[in-house]
This record gives sequence, structure tokens and C-alpha cells, in this order.
Amino acid sequence: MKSVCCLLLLALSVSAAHAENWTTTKQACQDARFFKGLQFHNAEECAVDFFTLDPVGPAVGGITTGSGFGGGLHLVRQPTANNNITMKALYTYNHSFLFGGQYEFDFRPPHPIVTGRRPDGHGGQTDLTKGNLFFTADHFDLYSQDFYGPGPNSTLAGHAVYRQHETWLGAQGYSPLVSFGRYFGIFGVSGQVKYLQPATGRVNGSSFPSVRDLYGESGAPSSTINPDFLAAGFGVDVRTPTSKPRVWEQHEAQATYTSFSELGSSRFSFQRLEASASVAFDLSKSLPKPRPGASLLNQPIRPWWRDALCMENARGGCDIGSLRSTTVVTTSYTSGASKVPFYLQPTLGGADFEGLDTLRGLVDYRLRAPNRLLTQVDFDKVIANLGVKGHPIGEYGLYAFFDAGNVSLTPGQLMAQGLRRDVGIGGSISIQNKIVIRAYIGFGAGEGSHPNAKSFNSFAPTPETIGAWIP
Amino acid sequence: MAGQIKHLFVLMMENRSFDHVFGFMKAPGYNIEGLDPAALPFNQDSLGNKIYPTPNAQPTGDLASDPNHHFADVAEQLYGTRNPEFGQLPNMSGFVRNYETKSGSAALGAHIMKCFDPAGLPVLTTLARKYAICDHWFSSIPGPTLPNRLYVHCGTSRGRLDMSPDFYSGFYTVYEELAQHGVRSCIYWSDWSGTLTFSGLMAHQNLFYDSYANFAAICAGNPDDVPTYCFIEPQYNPAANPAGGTLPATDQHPDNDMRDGEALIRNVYNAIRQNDDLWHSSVLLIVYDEHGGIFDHVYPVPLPSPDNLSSLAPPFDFKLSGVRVPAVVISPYIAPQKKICSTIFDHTSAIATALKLFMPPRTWPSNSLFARAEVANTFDTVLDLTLPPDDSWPNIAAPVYGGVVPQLQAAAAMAAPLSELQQQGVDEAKHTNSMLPAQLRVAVPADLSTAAEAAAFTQAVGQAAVAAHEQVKA
Repeated sequence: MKSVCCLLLLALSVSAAHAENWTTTKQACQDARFFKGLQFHNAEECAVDFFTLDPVGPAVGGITTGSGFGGGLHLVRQPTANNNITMKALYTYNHSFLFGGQYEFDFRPPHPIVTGRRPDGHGGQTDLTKGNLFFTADHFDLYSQDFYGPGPNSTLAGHAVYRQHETWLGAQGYSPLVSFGRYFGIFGVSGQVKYLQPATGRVNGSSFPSVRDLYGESGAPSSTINPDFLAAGFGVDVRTPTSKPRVWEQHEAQATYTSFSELGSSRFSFQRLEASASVAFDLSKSLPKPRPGASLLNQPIRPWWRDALCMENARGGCDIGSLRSTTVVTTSYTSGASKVPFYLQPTLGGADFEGLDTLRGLVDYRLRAPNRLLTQVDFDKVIANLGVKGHPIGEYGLYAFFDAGNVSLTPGQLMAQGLRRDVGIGGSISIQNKIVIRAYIGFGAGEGSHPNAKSFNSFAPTPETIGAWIP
Repeated sequence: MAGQIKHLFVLMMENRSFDHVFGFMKAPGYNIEGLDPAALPFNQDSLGNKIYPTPNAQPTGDLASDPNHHFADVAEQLYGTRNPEFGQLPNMSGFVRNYETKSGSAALGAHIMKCFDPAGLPVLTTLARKYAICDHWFSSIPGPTLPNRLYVHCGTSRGRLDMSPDFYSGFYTVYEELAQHGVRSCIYWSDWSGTLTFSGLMAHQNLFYDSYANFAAICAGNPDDVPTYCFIEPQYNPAANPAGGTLPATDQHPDNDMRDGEALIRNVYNAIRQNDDLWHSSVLLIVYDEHGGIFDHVYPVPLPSPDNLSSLAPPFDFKLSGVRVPAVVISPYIAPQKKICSTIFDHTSAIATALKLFMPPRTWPSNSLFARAEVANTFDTVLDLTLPPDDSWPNIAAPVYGGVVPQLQAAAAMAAPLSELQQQGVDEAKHTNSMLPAQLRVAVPADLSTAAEAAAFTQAVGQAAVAAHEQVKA
């Protein structure tokens, strides 16, 4: 996870919304091979086509945090514009693997959703977002995962490992429903039903003790017993319309409820509430207008540091950067003596099981408990075009962040011990206005510094990353 | 006139013919060059049956197999044969037979004659009736998407008819020409714009590109902050919305749902119309890049070659338009007598109009974007700026989607067979190569039978052609 070949990441990241057959791909790659001068576009097309080969092509990436980087095959079929089937098999260098399939069906919301009408009832923007349903069946085996003990007071010295393998199948869906007005945005609902058959065990050959040996059932519930679960839940969300009412702002808020029922008994049944909110601001300022009639192309060349400070944009101004704030609260509730299985508890540190960044100044999975609070502020800033003049393919950016959060054994204790904090800096590469690679170093949490690199599959029409398939 | 019109918006959709979209709007008192129910044209299928246009096209599902629209197929659609005689006149007789071959049956072949009942396209037909419909707007060449779109950006496809991926390198565009004279322009794009491969634009990418997601908000702001010339790209592929759900393709390319494109057109219109100050200084053009292999009854028209570059195989001198496409000009100043405009336009008319409206005096007409754009008719002639602005707001019905069954029938657009394209590319490259100055000509390899060899050759010829053109322009 820490360091992978940048080109491979780039290739993975630019997987586009289309699938190409072998002949087309071959032509694009031949074009790329024979370019003269720097024509990155053709190389990019070759990579895009290669990683979206139809119907069978390569799959690269990780399964989840700590599973390592690997490769395999994908199969994509899109019988109609509104449904597609994807299958994948992946094996990583540290002996983890995944195989599974997913069927997606897109559908219209029940009523047209219109935002931003004038007071006289005219105008407005029809939001075209469709709802979708995913049916997924999946099996994965994660050879070695980390555990540092339960709750906020765990230490690095308590490092143990476990192997996790799981079969699951389920359905999840989302549908936008109605506009809550120009400023609040689109209200939508989501739901999911999943059957999970998880199991954990020892890691052969590891220098660290196993979770079941070091912590047992008292410190790591369900580490010696492997029950099956039925998870069912629903959620609501409000988000910015596709046609943004304000150029400079974007937001989203979600709340979900999920019930995890252990099949056979209720020793590990629990309910989970999760709420998240994020808001992003694009900071910009106006530039002096050029003299009327003067060429816009032959303006005095802005020194590189001026563009680095404020990148010129098409709106007669320049972009200072983008500020994004995200807060997530996860709480779990049990009845009687039941406990939340340790492998279903949220984590803080690095990225979590679903690949989402958490406290990046700590190692992956550093803190784990049934309840979690996390708030983050991210700052992205474009500083230069990527490539050479006449042949750019994207932009270089600077990245800075601040994280704060903690975990607790009960919901009421979330703030009891204060918040762990970290900061970090890094860089990013964007293509077509979408960040595809980020590399950063997080520090300040009292446990050293932690470099990391991530790729984002921003161009995929469906969840293309393997990690998006895990429950 | 130029002082009052401060903004020109161009929304270019995909692959529909005029008759397919507007043909059945023809009615007593609305005498467009459409389909006369008393004298309908027809094509014959392979069984000899006469197939007439019918007003029963569905928003999606009719053209699950993407109709052919490469040069040789368009030749068959126009002339009834893929190899017309020199001087032969088109008779628009081969659409059904061509689509039979593609779709695999005579029954499906007849779908190419299906046209829309005007009630089935409430947004387009309402806007066309309310403002100005252009019933003689032709695609620029009888061929596919990319060379036709080159004409709206660059005024030429530089002798190219194909869809080769290295196509755009080195072209000079209307956006750069406007910028040279201090006029701001912007391309609003969603999932892709072919112009993202124009090296001249990418060298100043921060000047020329913005996200379509920002378009409505920008239009709602100060009109002085809205670029003078705006080109709007539809969404070409379905894509995941990061916040949940899926965004559909809105380009109306068969077999994408026409209603999604109607929603896009309505959104663009509303975004401009909603700000009275912007509306009073704007013109919006809605036009389609090419006919997409779908039937139209009007013959293509002669047009000047932009640059005297020709294609040898297939032979074509770029002096004939493509098939007629739908076009609507929207403005609060439409002259009543020009609501049906039969002036001949092609995509270079968008360039000509932009330069005429916004370039400084005495800099237009010029051949900066080649000869066809220099002499193209401009559509500002449908305006009467002495009129008070028409602020009445038509009541446009929202698209009705109904159940999910039609969506299940909608097939994803199929890619054209690449082997045919490759051969086409090699033939064209050979011809282009033969026209180059001797010192720039590329040696033709003895063996061009593999994709690698073909790609190397066409790429080399393309670069030589770019160099040649830059010499000419200099």
C-alpha cells in the first residue's frame, strides 16, 4: 500500500467509463508506441483501453487496507445502457485474494426532480441522476490484518494479527426522491440487505501473536467464534444537485441505520447508526481584466509562482484552492450481553476497511472500537499543469490535511478522552479535473510519521475498485 | 447588432437527422421542409417493399444497433450504392438497405425510417416553434462524428473522414482565434470533450475549459462574467455520480434515451433564460453533429472545400455537405418572418457567426479558419435587434419516462468495426501523403497489413500534414 509504481497507479486510475475491445486497444497502444515528441494523450488512451478491455481484461489494485497490491482479471458485460455485469478475480503479493461478481441496474426516480425554479414557477434545472441497484456476491481472503487492542487506550505494543476470510451476498440501492430546494439540494434514500459469512483465524508465519491468542473473546469479540450475519438497513441523504447552484460550494449529508443480526443466536447482534456531513468550498479571486481587444493568449507570461499561488481559470479569475471538511460519527448499540464483533468495528488510523481515509498520522487500523468520531479538513491546490506546453494531460497539486477523532467502547464516551489529532502534507495529480493519485505524509499524532499513496478510480461508471465490493 | 448580442451559446448534440426529429412538424401554416403526409418519400427494403417514414419513433429501443454512418455507409444511404458514379446525384434511397445490413433483418431495417411525433419531443419542438427552426442546416461532411465536430471547432477536418485517435493534434480553433482578439470563450464539458486533445487549447487549458456542472450557476451570475462564446458538450457516457446514483448519457446518440437529451436542452435553455440580463444579450444554437445514419429526404448541398485537401480512398473532395440535421436558434429577438429559416448552413456557420458578432471591425470575414467558414452563411440573420425582447416563457412539458421496460431494451452504443477504420485510415493517409510537398512525404512501407504498421504510417503522415499546414498558415 505504501509504495507502488506510479505508472501502474496512473494506468489504474484512468480506467474510463467505456470498455474497449482488443482491436481498438491494440490500435491505441500502437499509436502510443509510435508517437514522436511528447503526446501523452495516446499513452493515456492506451492505458484506459487496456484496463477497460471488453469483455475480459486485467484488474489491478488492492482488496482493502493492508491487503497489498495485486493483479487479476475482470469481465465486463453491459447488455443495455441501464444494466451491467462485472466479475473480478484478484490475487495480491501478500497472498490475499478476492473473486466475485456484481450486477448493476439503473432506474429512474419516481418523479422528475427540478431545482432552482424562479419565484414565478419558470425555469429550474432537472436533475438527471438515476437510482441504482447493486446485487453482489463475493468471497475474499485477507491473509493478514492488524489489530492493536480494543478502545481508545490501545497501544502499538498490543499489535496482533488475524486472517479474515468472508463470503457475502447482498443487494444495495439508492434513489434520489425530491428536491429540498436550491440550497439544500436533492433528498434521496438508500437501503441494503446482506448475508455475511465471515471468519477469522491465525496468520501462519507471522512474528506477531494472533488476535484470538492475545485478546480472546473478552478483548476481541467473535475472534474464536464465527457466526453468520444478516444485515439490513436504510439511509437518507441530501446532496448538491448535479447542476450546482453555486460554483464555489458543494455539500452532502447522510444518515444510515443498519441492523446486524447474528443467525442462530444473538451473542453478536447489534445496531449501527452512522451520520456524515461534508462541505467543500472552491476558493477563487478575480484577476484584472486584460485591455479590451488584447490577445488573451499573448498576455505577459505569468511567472510560475503566480500560477502556483493562484491558477488562472476560464471565469476571468484564478483558483486559490479547494477546502473540504468532513465529519463522520458511527455508533453501535447492543442489547443484553451481546457484543460487536471486532472485525465489524469501525477503525481509525490510515484508511479503514472500506478504504476511506481516517487518522492518517497513525498506522492502518490503529484504533478500533464500536463507536467512532472523525472530523477532517482537506486542502487541495493546483500548482502547475502536468506535461509540457501543448501536451498537458492534467495538473499537479499540493495537498494538506488535518484529522481529529477517537473511538470509544460506548457511544456516550466518544468525547470523554478528547480527540487524537494529526496533520499532513502531500501532492496530487489530477486528470480532467479529477484527482487520480495522492501521496502524502501524516504526522503529529504522537506515533511517528506515515507516508501513503492512494489512487482513485475516478473515471469508472461503477464501483471499479475491488475495495468497493467489500461490505 | 454586435453591441447587443454579447453571448453565443452552441449546444451540439449527437446523430439525429432533421426528418427524424422535426419532419412531422410540417403542417398547414407551418411550412417547414419536413415530411408531407400526402407525398411521403420512401426507401425500398431488400424484399422490394416500400418503407415510408412513420411518426412512431420511441425515445430509446428503436436503434439498438447503432446505424452505420461512416463515409462509405453514408454514400450507400445517399446514392443507394457504396460506389456511386462520378457526377451521380444523390436520391436518399439507401437508408433502409444499409440499416438492414447492420441490424440483421428487414423488419429492423425499417426502423431507420421512424420519425418522432412532435408530441414525443416536447422540449425541442416547443423551442423550435417558439423561436427559429433552421430547416436547411447540413452536417459538414457525409461522415461520422469526429470530422463533423472538427468543422464546428476548426472549420476543416484537413482531408480526414475517419475516427482515428490521433485526429486532433495541431488543429487551430475558433476559440484561439477569438482569444487572439481578446474575446473569451469556454467549452463546458461533463465526461469528455474531443477538444481536450487539441494541443493549442490544452496549452491554455485554464482559459478554455470549465465543468458543465458550473454552467447554471455561472449563467445565474453577472452576465459580464459569462464567456462570450460558449460551446456545450453533452454527457457522452453514463457515469457514476460520486454522491450516489448514476448519470445518464444526454447526447441523444442512438440508442441513448432522447428524453435525457431533452432534459439537457431544457436545462441549458432555462439556465440562460432565467437571468433576464443574460437572456437579453444572448443567442443559443442547438444543433446536431451529423445524421447518424438515420433517414432524411433532402439532398446534401454543394459547399466549398475548406482547404482543397481531398481524400483519395474513399475519394472525396469535401465539396458536398453531409445529411441535414436539426437546428434551432433561440433568442429574444427572432424576426417573426424568420421563424422558419431556410438559409443553407453547415457547422462552419457557427464559427462564421461567432467571428462576425464578436471580432473587431475589419477582421471578418477572414480565412483564419479556412475558406468554408469564410463564406458560410451566418445565422444572426434570423434576429431583428430593433424589436423589444420577447420575454414570454413557453411552458415546456417535462419528459415522461414511464416504466422501466423501454430502458431495459436500450442497448449501449456499439463501436464501429475497427478493422474497417484502420484500412480507411491507411487509404486516406496514402492519399494525404501523396498531396504533401515532396520534402515532407513519408515513405510508404511495403507491408501495411498489421495494425502496428498501419498506425505508425498514419501517425507519421498525420504529423507531416500538420507540419505542412502550419507552413501554409505561416
